[in-house]
Amino acid sequence: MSVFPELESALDAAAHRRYRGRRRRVWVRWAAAPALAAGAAALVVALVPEREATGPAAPPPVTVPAAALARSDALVAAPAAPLNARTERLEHSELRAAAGEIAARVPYPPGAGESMDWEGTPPGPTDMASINDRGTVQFLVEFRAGCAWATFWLFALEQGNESALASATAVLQDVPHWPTLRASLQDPYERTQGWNAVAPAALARDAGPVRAYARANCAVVPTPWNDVIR
Amino acid sequence: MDGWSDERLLTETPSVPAAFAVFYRRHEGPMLGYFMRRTGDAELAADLAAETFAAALLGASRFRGDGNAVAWLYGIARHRLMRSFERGRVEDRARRKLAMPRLEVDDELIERIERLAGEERAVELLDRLPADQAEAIRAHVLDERSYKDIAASVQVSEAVVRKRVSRGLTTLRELL
Repeated sequence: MSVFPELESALDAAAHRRYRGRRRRVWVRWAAAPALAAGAAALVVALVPEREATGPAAPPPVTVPAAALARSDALVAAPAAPLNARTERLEHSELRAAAGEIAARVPYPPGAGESMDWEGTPPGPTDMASINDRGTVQFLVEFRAGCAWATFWLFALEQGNESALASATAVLQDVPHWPTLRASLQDPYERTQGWNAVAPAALARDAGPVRAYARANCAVVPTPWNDVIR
Repeated sequence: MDGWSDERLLTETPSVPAAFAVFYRRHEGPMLGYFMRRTGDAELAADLAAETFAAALLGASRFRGDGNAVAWLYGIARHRLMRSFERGRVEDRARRKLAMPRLEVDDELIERIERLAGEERAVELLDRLPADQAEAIRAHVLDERSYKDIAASVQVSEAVVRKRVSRGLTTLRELL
């Protein structure tokens, strides 16, 4: 809600009054364009021999392997990993190997994978921002995999790829139940935010909340589909 | 439209008039805070903000998409403020041209604007904190993002984000 809702309403009404006519003029001016394009396309189809008109076969749509969904199920069933619990300490040089082990049990959409620059994190335990325990590595791996699924979901929706969309929707329902993210289901602050809000939005095919969340939190996670959140 | 850039919201306003309300909501708070800091009067700030946004709506069809929308908007705001100082009153030319009704500024609105000015002051103080603490407070307190989301975005543990927010808020309390 705005601070001055009466002003917002007055401006909105004024905008519609002022620019209403302009939209109609633009529509009239360009109304003929689709008809012309359709006519030209029909002419081309009629003149080109049938074999050439079909062109090269389009690449097959992306499909999500059943193994990815099974991995997601397994994570839902795995024990919780609360973030404040003490977990195995790791040296800076051990981070990548630990992340690799954890990522092997985490589902990724086809074409995505574990992508964090572990060597680029601050190296020593004296730096507060350094990562030096297995729990934090697991949290980052799981969270970033969730990001890859949110971005993939938006891509599948944009492509109209119903099969991939159904798989991504199913995984997004699981993400809040993954071991390091599960605690947020009990946290009164987070219960209605983050992954807990993305899951029902995905189920309702409501791209707005998914895109807003991915844009705010997932832009640092590289995937082949990041254009959909830019 | 919530995902559109400021520049796109302005350039699309002539064909999609609802875009201007999104632009307004995005800049209303900072604009009211801007006028509050310069006038110290919530009623005057509301009046100036109304005239500034009305002028922006009138000018939206001339806005060039390759310009900076925020700089353009504050250019209008500065001009309206200077004119009000020179003339001893706030102009209402843009609002009259748009046939906008005169809006009542009641006590509740004045209170909301004054509270907003206090928040704006806190935002200014954020610039005096270490960058990592300011970023954590902005994300958690102002943008209402969870500790987990912030931790994943800046690639640290959740505990680190909690510490940064806590230390930053302690310093802010000392500065206030």
